[in-house]
Amino acid sequence: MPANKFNGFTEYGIGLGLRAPHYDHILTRKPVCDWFEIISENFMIGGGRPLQVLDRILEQYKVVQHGVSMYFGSPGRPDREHLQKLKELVIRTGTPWLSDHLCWGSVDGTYTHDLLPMPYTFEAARLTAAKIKEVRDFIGVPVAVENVSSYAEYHVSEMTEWEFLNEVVERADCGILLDVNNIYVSSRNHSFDPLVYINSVPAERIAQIHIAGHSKFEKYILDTHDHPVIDPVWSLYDRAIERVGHTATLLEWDDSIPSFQEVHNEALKANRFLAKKLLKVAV
Amino acid sequence: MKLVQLQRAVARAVMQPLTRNEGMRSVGPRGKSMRRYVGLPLVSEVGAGP
Repeated sequence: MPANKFNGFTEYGIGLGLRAPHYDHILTRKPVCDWFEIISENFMIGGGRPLQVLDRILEQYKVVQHGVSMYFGSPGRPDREHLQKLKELVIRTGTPWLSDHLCWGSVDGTYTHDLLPMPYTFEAARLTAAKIKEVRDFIGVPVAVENVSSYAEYHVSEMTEWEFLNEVVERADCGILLDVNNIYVSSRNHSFDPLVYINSVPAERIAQIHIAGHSKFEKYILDTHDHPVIDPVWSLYDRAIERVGHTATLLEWDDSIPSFQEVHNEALKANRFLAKKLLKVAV
Repeated sequence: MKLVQLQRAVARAVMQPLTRNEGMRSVGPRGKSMRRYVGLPLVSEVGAGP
């Protein structure tokens, strides 16, 4: 199940988000790391240091692309120029799959630069799935959509978030980038049982898993990617691995970024859950 | 409400500063008023706010 058509039938292990403060360490020390995830938009440029660094990284490591601005749920067709640049980067990196968020963030040409939650309606599912298919057909690699953390809900919703996710991925026949931290954050903000979510997603479509830390405020939790992963999120990850199997896993750490080794050590904690699953399979 | 109508309403709300001291610029990066982008007067311009 872990290697499936949604992740290009790959068996990737534990990866890290490639971040600028770690460039020098990676290029000079060449640490062992299964793979790196890049933010596509940071490299959709004509040249310069980011692309030079990327090319050197590609000489030694596997790279997977993750986007932040496709806005599958926004109205209108995808921007052709953006897609063309993305396709050129896909050819450069050889990414086996491409991920972006199940959200919207632009309307009538105005970009909010936010990952805004979808209204969970059948109309939204139909339009979003059509856009995912269009992007996949143009880019030419499998697409996985990531569940976002959210801080607001809509009265017009006709289903739960996980039902909406199911509806979209079935209609689009695409993969899922399951972010267990986002599930935890949203479950606290909207008072639902995160295990129900984890148990409801189609395991056979999960291409990749995200883990991350977050910040807790008095009345809400914010997905800040600036802390270690907390135990309840590891518990959700444990359950996800139990259902899905040994799946490509990535730790996101985007703010107050500690040393490469510290971030990598945090990511490698996932090994205890992956090993437990392997032991169960062996028995 | 159709999806696109809902998204227009939410986009306006998201891009609207909530308070007078939120520090949102009144002029966009290309020199045009931010009202052009959000379609609503800024709170600081209408003098409202909590």
